[in-house]
Amino acid sequence: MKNDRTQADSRRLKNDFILIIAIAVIAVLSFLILRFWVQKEGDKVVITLDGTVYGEYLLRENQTIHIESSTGLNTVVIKDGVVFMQEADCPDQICVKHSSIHRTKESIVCLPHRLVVEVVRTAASKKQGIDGVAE
Amino acid sequence: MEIIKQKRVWQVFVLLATVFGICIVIKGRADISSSRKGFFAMDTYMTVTVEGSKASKAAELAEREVNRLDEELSTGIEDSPVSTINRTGEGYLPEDLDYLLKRSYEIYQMTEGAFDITIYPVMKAWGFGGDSFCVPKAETLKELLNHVNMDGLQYDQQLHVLHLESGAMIDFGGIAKGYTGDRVASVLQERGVKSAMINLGGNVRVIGRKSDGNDWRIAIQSPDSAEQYLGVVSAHDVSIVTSGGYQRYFEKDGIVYHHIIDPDTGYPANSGLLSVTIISEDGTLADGLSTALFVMGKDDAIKLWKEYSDMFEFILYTEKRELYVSSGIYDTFTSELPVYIVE
Repeated sequence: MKNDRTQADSRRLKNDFILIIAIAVIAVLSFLILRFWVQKEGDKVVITLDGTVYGEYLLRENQTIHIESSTGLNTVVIKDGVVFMQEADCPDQICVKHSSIHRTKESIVCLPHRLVVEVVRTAASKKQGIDGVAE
Repeated sequence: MEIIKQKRVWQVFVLLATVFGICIVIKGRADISSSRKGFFAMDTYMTVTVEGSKASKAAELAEREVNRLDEELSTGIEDSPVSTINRTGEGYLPEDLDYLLKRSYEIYQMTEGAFDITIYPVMKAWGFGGDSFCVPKAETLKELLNHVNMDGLQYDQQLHVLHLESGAMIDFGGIAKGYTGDRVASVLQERGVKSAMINLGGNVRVIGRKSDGNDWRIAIQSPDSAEQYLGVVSAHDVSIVTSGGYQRYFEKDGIVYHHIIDPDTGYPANSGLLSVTIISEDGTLADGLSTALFVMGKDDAIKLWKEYSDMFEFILYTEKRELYVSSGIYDTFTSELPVYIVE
Protein backbone atom coordinates (compact mmCIF):
# COMPACT_ATOMS: atom_id res chain seq x y z
CA MET A 1 0.00 0.00 0.00
CA LYS A 2 2.61 2.42 1.02
CA ASN A 3 4.72 1.45 -1.99
CA ASP A 4 1.86 2.33 -4.41
CA ARG A 5 1.50 5.75 -2.94
CA THR A 6 5.21 6.47 -3.09
CA GLN A 7 5.27 5.35 -6.73
CA ALA A 8 2.28 7.62 -7.49
CA ASP A 9 3.98 10.47 -5.67
CA SER A 10 7.26 10.10 -7.50
CA ARG A 11 5.46 9.90 -10.86
CA ARG A 12 3.53 13.06 -10.01
CA LEU A 13 6.77 14.74 -9.04
CA LYS A 14 8.34 13.61 -12.25
CA ASN A 15 5.44 15.10 -14.25
CA ASP A 16 5.70 18.36 -12.38
CA PHE A 17 9.38 18.36 -13.10
CA ILE A 18 8.81 17.70 -16.80
CA LEU A 19 6.22 20.47 -16.92
CA ILE A 20 8.57 22.97 -15.29
CA ILE A 21 11.39 22.03 -17.62
CA ALA A 22 9.09 22.34 -20.66
CA ILE A 23 7.92 25.81 -19.63
CA ALA A 24 11.50 26.89 -18.96
CA VAL A 25 12.65 25.59 -22.33
CA ILE A 26 9.83 27.38 -24.15
CA ALA A 27 10.58 30.61 -22.29
CA VAL A 28 14.26 30.49 -23.13
CA LEU A 29 13.63 29.45 -26.73
CA SER A 30 11.12 32.26 -27.31
CA PHE A 31 13.49 34.80 -25.81
CA LEU A 32 16.38 33.61 -27.98
CA ILE A 33 14.34 33.43 -31.17
CA LEU A 34 12.74 36.85 -30.69
CA ARG A 35 16.07 38.38 -29.86
CA PHE A 36 18.19 36.93 -32.60
CA TRP A 37 16.04 35.62 -35.40
CA VAL A 38 12.85 37.66 -35.77
CA GLN A 39 14.33 40.95 -34.66
CA LYS A 40 17.90 41.82 -35.47
CA GLU A 41 18.72 45.13 -33.89
CA GLY A 42 20.75 47.81 -35.54
CA ASP A 43 21.13 48.96 -39.11
CA LYS A 44 21.63 46.25 -41.68
CA VAL A 45 23.42 46.13 -45.00
CA VAL A 46 21.44 44.13 -47.54
CA ILE A 47 23.17 42.93 -50.69
CA THR A 48 20.98 41.78 -53.55
CA LEU A 49 22.13 40.07 -56.71
CA ASP A 50 19.78 40.34 -59.67
CA GLY A 51 16.86 40.97 -57.36
CA THR A 52 17.44 38.14 -54.91
CA VAL A 53 18.90 38.77 -51.49
CA TYR A 54 22.50 37.58 -51.38
CA GLY A 55 23.05 38.35 -47.72
CA GLU A 56 22.32 40.62 -44.79
CA TYR A 57 25.03 42.01 -42.56
CA LEU A 58 25.05 44.23 -39.52
CA LEU A 59 26.43 47.69 -40.19
CA ARG A 60 28.13 47.78 -36.81
CA GLU A 61 30.22 44.68 -37.53
CA ASN A 62 33.41 45.30 -39.50
CA GLN A 63 33.66 42.77 -42.30
CA THR A 64 34.70 42.17 -45.88
CA ILE A 65 32.30 40.44 -48.24
CA HIS A 66 33.48 38.91 -51.48
CA ILE A 67 30.71 38.35 -53.98
CA GLU A 68 31.45 36.14 -56.92
CA SER A 69 28.66 35.86 -59.44
CA SER A 70 28.25 34.82 -63.03
CA THR A 71 28.70 38.47 -63.99
CA GLY A 72 31.83 39.21 -62.01
CA LEU A 73 33.50 39.97 -58.71
CA ASN A 74 32.64 42.62 -56.13
CA THR A 75 34.23 43.27 -52.78
CA VAL A 76 32.04 45.06 -50.26
CA VAL A 77 33.60 46.37 -47.07
CA ILE A 78 31.78 47.37 -43.89
CA LYS A 79 34.09 49.34 -41.64
CA ASP A 80 33.51 51.77 -38.75
CA GLY A 81 29.81 52.09 -39.50
CA VAL A 82 30.03 52.75 -43.24
CA VAL A 83 29.83 50.54 -46.32
CA PHE A 84 31.73 50.94 -49.57
CA MET A 85 32.71 48.98 -52.62
CA GLN A 86 36.39 48.30 -52.26
CA GLU A 87 36.90 46.50 -55.50
CA ALA A 88 34.99 45.31 -58.54
CA ASP A 89 35.93 44.00 -61.94
CA CYS A 90 33.14 45.84 -63.78
CA PRO A 91 34.19 48.07 -66.70
CA ASP A 92 32.76 51.40 -65.51
CA GLN A 93 33.93 51.25 -61.84
CA ILE A 94 31.06 53.58 -60.85
CA CYS A 95 30.34 51.47 -57.78
CA VAL A 96 33.95 51.68 -56.61
CA LYS A 97 34.06 55.43 -57.13
CA HIS A 98 30.85 55.89 -55.14
CA SER A 99 31.42 57.42 -51.72
CA SER A 100 30.77 55.28 -48.66
CA ILE A 101 27.21 55.02 -47.40
CA HIS A 102 25.77 54.64 -43.92
CA ARG A 103 22.33 56.20 -43.93
CA THR A 104 19.07 54.34 -44.32
CA LYS A 105 17.93 53.86 -47.93
CA GLU A 106 21.36 54.85 -49.24
CA SER A 107 22.67 52.41 -51.81
CA ILE A 108 25.58 51.57 -54.06
CA VAL A 109 24.63 49.91 -57.32
CA CYS A 110 26.89 47.92 -59.63
CA LEU A 111 24.73 47.99 -62.73
CA PRO A 112 26.82 45.68 -64.94
CA HIS A 113 26.78 43.02 -62.24
CA ARG A 114 23.17 43.76 -61.21
CA LEU A 115 24.36 44.04 -57.64
CA VAL A 116 22.85 46.39 -55.08
CA VAL A 117 24.27 47.23 -51.66
CA GLU A 118 21.72 48.99 -49.47
CA VAL A 119 21.53 50.24 -45.91
CA VAL A 120 18.29 49.22 -44.24
CA ARG A 121 16.94 50.33 -40.90
CA THR A 122 15.32 47.53 -38.97
CA ALA A 123 11.86 47.81 -37.42
CA ALA A 124 13.43 48.27 -34.01
CA SER A 125 15.17 51.51 -34.87
CA LYS A 126 12.82 53.09 -37.42
CA LYS A 127 12.61 56.84 -37.03
CA GLN A 128 10.72 59.59 -38.82
CA GLY A 129 13.44 59.70 -41.40
CA ILE A 130 13.60 59.81 -45.14
CA ASP A 131 11.55 57.46 -47.25
CA GLY A 132 13.21 58.02 -50.60
CA VAL A 133 15.59 60.21 -52.55
CA ALA A 134 14.86 62.04 -55.77
CA GLU A 135 18.16 62.15 -57.63
CA MET B 1 -5.11 10.72 -10.65
CA GLU B 2 -1.79 10.49 -12.56
CA ILE B 3 -3.57 10.04 -15.89
CA ILE B 4 -5.57 13.23 -15.37
CA LYS B 5 -2.41 15.08 -14.35
CA GLN B 6 -0.51 13.87 -17.42
CA LYS B 7 -3.32 15.06 -19.67
CA ARG B 8 -3.18 18.42 -17.95
CA VAL B 9 0.58 18.61 -18.45
CA TRP B 10 0.10 18.05 -22.15
CA GLN B 11 -2.77 20.54 -22.34
CA VAL B 12 -0.69 23.25 -20.73
CA PHE B 13 2.28 22.40 -22.91
CA VAL B 14 0.21 22.58 -26.11
CA LEU B 15 -1.40 25.82 -24.96
CA LEU B 16 1.96 27.44 -24.29
CA ALA B 17 3.39 26.23 -27.57
CA THR B 18 0.40 27.66 -29.45
CA VAL B 19 0.66 31.02 -27.69
CA PHE B 20 4.37 31.10 -28.40
CA GLY B 21 3.76 30.24 -32.05
CA ILE B 22 1.14 32.96 -32.40
CA CYS B 23 3.48 35.52 -30.88
CA ILE B 24 6.19 34.66 -33.37
CA VAL B 25 3.79 34.90 -36.31
CA ILE B 26 2.34 38.23 -35.17
CA LYS B 27 5.79 39.65 -34.63
CA GLY B 28 6.86 38.41 -38.03
CA ARG B 29 3.84 39.87 -39.83
CA ALA B 30 4.17 43.19 -38.02
CA ASP B 31 7.62 43.59 -39.48
CA ILE B 32 6.30 43.02 -42.99
CA SER B 33 3.82 45.91 -42.79
CA SER B 34 5.89 47.81 -45.31
CA SER B 35 8.20 46.16 -47.74
CA ARG B 36 10.32 47.09 -50.69
CA LYS B 37 11.26 45.15 -53.77
CA GLY B 38 13.77 46.17 -56.39
CA PHE B 39 14.43 45.25 -60.00
CA PHE B 40 16.55 46.35 -62.93
CA ALA B 41 14.79 47.98 -65.89
CA MET B 42 15.19 50.91 -68.31
CA ASP B 43 18.91 50.72 -67.74
CA THR B 44 18.61 51.57 -64.08
CA TYR B 45 17.64 50.22 -60.68
CA MET B 46 14.06 50.65 -59.53
CA THR B 47 12.27 50.04 -56.25
CA VAL B 48 8.64 49.73 -55.24
CA THR B 49 7.78 50.28 -51.58
CA VAL B 50 4.27 49.28 -50.62
CA GLU B 51 2.58 49.59 -47.24
CA GLY B 52 0.25 46.78 -46.37
CA SER B 53 0.58 43.19 -47.35
CA LYS B 54 0.64 43.55 -51.13
CA ALA B 55 4.31 44.41 -51.58
CA SER B 56 5.63 41.46 -53.54
CA LYS B 57 2.70 41.33 -55.91
CA ALA B 58 2.90 45.10 -56.43
CA ALA B 59 6.57 44.92 -57.38
CA GLU B 60 5.76 42.17 -59.85
CA LEU B 61 3.05 44.28 -61.50
CA ALA B 62 5.31 47.33 -61.51
CA GLU B 63 8.15 45.46 -63.16
CA ARG B 64 5.85 44.06 -65.80
CA GLU B 65 4.46 47.50 -66.69
CA VAL B 66 7.93 49.07 -66.77
CA ASN B 67 9.25 46.34 -69.06
CA ARG B 68 6.22 46.68 -71.32
CA LEU B 69 6.91 50.40 -71.77
CA ASP B 70 10.65 49.88 -72.10
CA GLU B 71 10.08 47.52 -74.99
CA GLU B 72 8.18 50.28 -76.80
CA LEU B 73 10.38 53.30 -76.24
CA SER B 74 13.89 52.06 -75.67
CA THR B 75 16.47 53.28 -78.14
CA GLY B 76 18.68 50.45 -76.90
CA ILE B 77 16.32 47.72 -78.07
CA GLU B 78 16.80 47.23 -81.79
CA ASP B 79 13.22 46.40 -82.74
CA SER B 80 11.40 48.78 -80.45
CA PRO B 81 8.98 51.13 -82.21
CA VAL B 82 11.27 54.08 -81.46
CA SER B 83 14.39 52.32 -82.75
CA THR B 84 12.54 51.26 -85.89
CA ILE B 85 11.40 54.82 -86.56
CA ASN B 86 14.91 56.15 -85.99
CA ARG B 87 16.44 53.57 -88.29
CA THR B 88 13.94 53.68 -91.16
CA GLY B 89 12.61 57.22 -90.82
CA GLU B 90 9.05 56.09 -90.33
CA GLY B 91 6.90 53.93 -88.12
CA TYR B 92 3.77 53.22 -86.14
CA LEU B 93 3.30 54.57 -82.62
CA PRO B 94 1.38 52.35 -80.22
CA GLU B 95 -1.01 54.02 -77.74
CA ASP B 96 1.52 54.97 -75.05
CA LEU B 97 3.96 56.44 -77.58
CA ASP B 98 1.15 58.31 -79.32
CA TYR B 99 0.40 59.87 -75.95
CA LEU B 100 4.06 60.62 -75.29
CA LEU B 101 4.46 62.29 -78.67
CA LYS B 102 1.51 64.57 -77.98
CA ARG B 103 2.75 65.45 -74.48
CA SER B 104 6.28 66.00 -75.82
CA TYR B 105 4.99 68.49 -78.34
CA GLU B 106 2.94 70.25 -75.67
CA ILE B 107 6.00 70.64 -73.44
CA TYR B 108 8.10 71.67 -76.43
CA GLN B 109 5.69 74.54 -77.09
CA MET B 110 5.28 75.39 -73.42
CA THR B 111 9.05 75.72 -72.98
CA GLU B 112 9.66 77.32 -76.39
CA GLY B 113 11.89 74.49 -77.51
CA ALA B 114 13.93 73.96 -74.35
CA PHE B 115 12.47 70.45 -74.31
CA ASP B 116 12.81 68.71 -77.67
CA ILE B 117 12.76 64.98 -78.34
CA THR B 118 14.56 65.48 -81.65
CA ILE B 119 17.73 66.43 -79.75
CA TYR B 120 18.73 62.77 -79.89
CA PRO B 121 21.32 62.93 -82.75
CA VAL B 122 23.15 65.66 -80.86
CA MET B 123 23.12 63.61 -77.65
CA LYS B 124 24.49 60.65 -79.59
CA ALA B 125 27.29 62.82 -80.99
CA TRP B 126 28.42 63.58 -77.44
CA GLY B 127 28.27 59.91 -76.53
CA PHE B 128 25.24 60.11 -74.26
CA GLY B 129 23.37 57.66 -76.46
CA GLY B 130 25.49 54.79 -75.24
CA ASP B 131 28.61 55.23 -77.34
CA SER B 132 31.92 56.45 -76.00
CA PHE B 133 32.10 60.05 -74.88
CA CYS B 134 33.68 62.65 -77.12
CA VAL B 135 33.53 66.38 -77.77
CA PRO B 136 31.99 66.85 -81.23
CA LYS B 137 33.42 69.39 -83.64
CA ALA B 138 31.50 72.66 -83.85
CA GLU B 139 30.72 72.03 -87.54
CA THR B 140 29.28 68.62 -86.70
CA LEU B 141 26.99 70.12 -84.08
CA LYS B 142 25.92 72.89 -86.44
CA GLU B 143 24.94 70.33 -89.04
CA LEU B 144 23.11 68.15 -86.55
CA LEU B 145 21.21 71.11 -85.12
CA ASN B 146 19.52 71.51 -88.51
CA HIS B 147 17.60 68.34 -87.71
CA VAL B 148 16.67 69.39 -84.18
CA ASN B 149 13.15 70.71 -84.53
CA MET B 150 9.97 69.05 -83.28
CA ASP B 151 8.00 71.12 -85.75
CA GLY B 152 9.68 69.10 -88.49
CA LEU B 153 7.97 65.89 -87.41
CA GLN B 154 5.13 64.67 -89.57
CA TYR B 155 2.51 62.67 -87.71
CA ASP B 156 -0.57 61.05 -89.15
CA GLN B 157 -3.03 61.28 -86.26
CA GLN B 158 -5.42 58.79 -87.81
CA LEU B 159 -2.94 56.04 -88.64
CA HIS B 160 -0.56 56.88 -85.77
CA VAL B 161 2.33 56.89 -88.19
CA LEU B 162 5.29 59.17 -87.52
CA HIS B 163 7.56 60.31 -90.32
CA LEU B 164 11.01 61.77 -89.67
CA GLU B 165 12.90 64.06 -92.00
CA SER B 166 16.22 62.72 -93.20
CA GLY B 167 18.79 62.98 -90.41
CA ALA B 168 16.24 63.36 -87.63
CA MET B 169 15.95 60.96 -84.70
CA ILE B 170 13.80 60.94 -81.58
CA ASP B 171 14.21 59.80 -78.00
CA PHE B 172 11.56 59.90 -75.27
CA GLY B 173 14.24 59.58 -72.59
CA GLY B 174 13.45 63.04 -71.23
CA ILE B 175 9.89 62.12 -70.21
CA ALA B 176 9.90 58.31 -70.21
CA LYS B 177 10.46 57.75 -66.50
CA GLY B 178 7.95 60.39 -65.47
CA TYR B 179 5.29 58.80 -67.64
CA THR B 180 6.25 55.31 -66.51
CA GLY B 181 5.87 56.37 -62.88
CA ASP B 182 2.33 57.50 -63.58
CA ARG B 183 1.53 54.30 -65.46
CA VAL B 184 2.87 52.11 -62.65
CA ALA B 185 0.86 54.14 -60.13
CA SER B 186 -2.27 53.53 -62.23
CA VAL B 187 -1.65 49.81 -62.39
CA LEU B 188 -1.07 49.58 -58.64
CA GLN B 189 -4.09 51.71 -57.75
CA GLU B 190 -6.27 49.54 -59.98
CA ARG B 191 -5.11 46.64 -57.86
CA GLY B 192 -6.21 48.40 -54.69
CA VAL B 193 -2.85 49.76 -53.53
CA LYS B 194 -3.49 52.93 -51.52
CA SER B 195 -0.02 53.65 -50.21
CA ALA B 196 3.21 53.19 -52.12
CA MET B 197 6.43 54.82 -53.23
CA ILE B 198 7.88 54.08 -56.64
CA ASN B 199 11.48 55.04 -57.32
CA LEU B 200 12.51 54.67 -60.93
CA GLY B 201 16.24 55.31 -60.83
CA GLY B 202 15.77 58.52 -58.85
CA ASN B 203 12.44 59.50 -60.39
CA VAL B 204 10.00 59.31 -57.46
CA ARG B 205 6.24 58.80 -57.56
CA VAL B 206 4.23 58.47 -54.37
CA ILE B 207 0.75 57.05 -54.01
CA GLY B 208 -1.33 58.22 -51.09
CA ARG B 209 0.28 58.74 -47.71
CA LYS B 210 2.15 56.28 -45.56
CA SER B 211 0.11 53.87 -43.45
CA ASP B 212 0.70 56.04 -40.36
CA GLY B 213 -1.10 58.91 -42.11
CA ASN B 214 2.04 60.98 -42.67
CA ASP B 215 3.21 62.25 -46.03
CA TRP B 216 6.09 60.50 -47.73
CA ARG B 217 9.34 62.26 -46.99
CA ILE B 218 11.44 62.51 -50.11
CA ALA B 219 14.94 63.97 -49.94
CA ILE B 220 16.37 65.89 -52.89
CA GLN B 221 19.90 64.88 -53.84
CA SER B 222 22.49 67.62 -53.61
CA PRO B 223 24.72 68.09 -56.67
CA ASP B 224 27.57 69.03 -54.34
CA SER B 225 28.00 65.74 -52.56
CA ALA B 226 26.56 62.25 -52.66
CA GLU B 227 26.15 62.44 -48.90
CA GLN B 228 24.11 65.62 -48.80
CA TYR B 229 20.56 66.61 -49.54
CA LEU B 230 19.24 69.97 -50.70
CA GLY B 231 16.24 69.41 -48.48
CA VAL B 232 13.25 67.19 -47.87
CA VAL B 233 9.79 67.39 -49.43
CA SER B 234 6.74 65.96 -47.66
CA ALA B 235 4.37 64.75 -50.33
CA HIS B 236 1.47 62.57 -51.33
CA ASP B 237 0.08 61.60 -54.76
CA VAL B 238 2.74 63.39 -56.78
CA SER B 239 5.83 62.81 -58.88
CA ILE B 240 9.13 64.33 -57.82
CA VAL B 241 11.73 64.51 -60.57
CA THR B 242 15.22 66.01 -60.32
CA SER B 243 17.49 66.88 -63.22
CA GLY B 244 21.07 68.02 -63.02
CA GLY B 245 24.32 67.91 -64.89
CA TYR B 246 25.88 66.00 -62.02
CA GLN B 247 23.77 62.95 -62.91
CA ARG B 248 25.62 62.12 -66.11
CA TYR B 249 28.79 63.74 -67.41
CA PHE B 250 32.30 63.20 -68.62
CA GLU B 251 35.48 65.21 -68.36
CA LYS B 252 37.89 66.02 -71.18
CA ASP B 253 40.96 68.23 -70.88
CA GLY B 254 39.75 69.59 -67.57
CA ILE B 255 36.29 70.59 -68.81
CA VAL B 256 33.12 68.88 -67.60
CA TYR B 257 30.46 68.08 -70.22
CA HIS B 258 27.05 66.95 -68.91
CA HIS B 259 24.10 65.26 -70.58
CA ILE B 260 21.48 68.06 -70.55
CA ILE B 261 22.03 69.49 -74.01
CA ASP B 262 20.60 72.89 -74.92
CA PRO B 263 18.65 72.36 -78.17
CA ASP B 264 19.56 75.90 -79.23
CA THR B 265 23.33 75.53 -79.00
CA GLY B 266 23.99 71.81 -79.16
CA TYR B 267 26.21 72.16 -76.09
CA PRO B 268 25.52 71.16 -72.47
CA ALA B 269 23.22 73.76 -70.97
CA ASN B 270 25.06 76.46 -69.09
CA SER B 271 22.24 78.39 -67.51
CA GLY B 272 23.52 78.84 -63.98
CA LEU B 273 21.51 76.01 -62.48
CA LEU B 274 22.98 72.91 -60.87
CA SER B 275 19.74 71.10 -60.14
CA VAL B 276 16.05 71.42 -60.97
CA THR B 277 13.34 69.53 -59.13
CA ILE B 278 9.75 69.54 -60.32
CA ILE B 279 6.84 68.36 -58.18
CA SER B 280 3.60 67.67 -59.95
CA GLU B 281 0.59 65.36 -60.03
CA ASP B 282 1.52 64.92 -63.69
CA GLY B 283 4.65 62.78 -63.84
CA THR B 284 5.17 63.21 -67.57
CA LEU B 285 5.12 66.98 -67.14
CA ALA B 286 7.43 66.82 -64.13
CA ASP B 287 10.02 64.83 -66.05
CA GLY B 288 9.91 67.00 -69.17
CA LEU B 289 9.98 70.27 -67.25
CA SER B 290 12.88 69.21 -65.03
CA THR B 291 15.08 68.98 -68.12
CA ALA B 292 13.58 72.06 -69.82
CA LEU B 293 13.91 74.35 -66.82
CA PHE B 294 17.53 73.30 -66.34
CA VAL B 295 18.16 74.47 -69.91
CA MET B 296 16.13 77.66 -69.48
CA GLY B 297 17.81 78.97 -66.36
CA LYS B 298 16.34 80.53 -63.24
CA ASP B 299 14.66 83.65 -64.65
CA ASP B 300 12.89 81.95 -67.56
CA ALA B 301 12.00 79.01 -65.32
CA ILE B 302 10.30 81.32 -62.84
CA LYS B 303 8.52 83.13 -65.67
CA LEU B 304 7.21 79.81 -66.95
CA TRP B 305 6.04 78.77 -63.51
CA LYS B 306 4.09 81.98 -63.02
CA GLU B 307 2.20 81.13 -66.18
CA TYR B 308 1.46 77.54 -65.16
CA SER B 309 1.63 77.74 -61.37
CA ASP B 310 -1.28 75.42 -60.78
CA MET B 311 0.38 72.59 -62.69
CA PHE B 312 3.68 72.18 -60.88
CA GLU B 313 6.03 73.41 -58.18
CA PHE B 314 9.80 73.71 -58.40
CA ILE B 315 13.04 73.69 -56.44
CA LEU B 316 15.95 75.35 -58.24
CA TYR B 317 19.54 75.13 -57.00
CA THR B 318 21.87 77.68 -58.56
CA GLU B 319 25.62 77.75 -59.13
CA LYS B 320 25.71 80.34 -56.35
CA ARG B 321 24.38 77.59 -54.04
CA GLU B 322 21.03 79.34 -53.58
CA LEU B 323 17.70 77.53 -53.36
CA TYR B 324 14.66 79.00 -55.09
CA VAL B 325 11.40 77.32 -54.17
CA SER B 326 7.94 77.99 -55.57
CA SER B 327 5.43 79.21 -53.00
CA GLY B 328 3.16 76.18 -53.36
CA ILE B 329 5.58 73.89 -51.54
CA TYR B 330 6.93 76.38 -49.07
CA ASP B 331 5.06 74.62 -46.28
CA THR B 332 6.17 71.15 -47.23
CA PHE B 333 9.85 71.67 -48.04
CA THR B 334 12.48 71.84 -45.34
CA SER B 335 16.14 72.59 -45.85
CA GLU B 336 19.22 73.53 -43.90
CA LEU B 337 20.24 75.79 -46.75
CA PRO B 338 18.87 79.34 -47.19
CA VAL B 339 15.69 79.30 -49.27
CA TYR B 340 14.25 82.04 -51.47
CA ILE B 341 10.52 81.70 -51.95
CA VAL B 342 9.07 82.65 -55.30
CA GLU B 343 5.49 83.91 -55.18
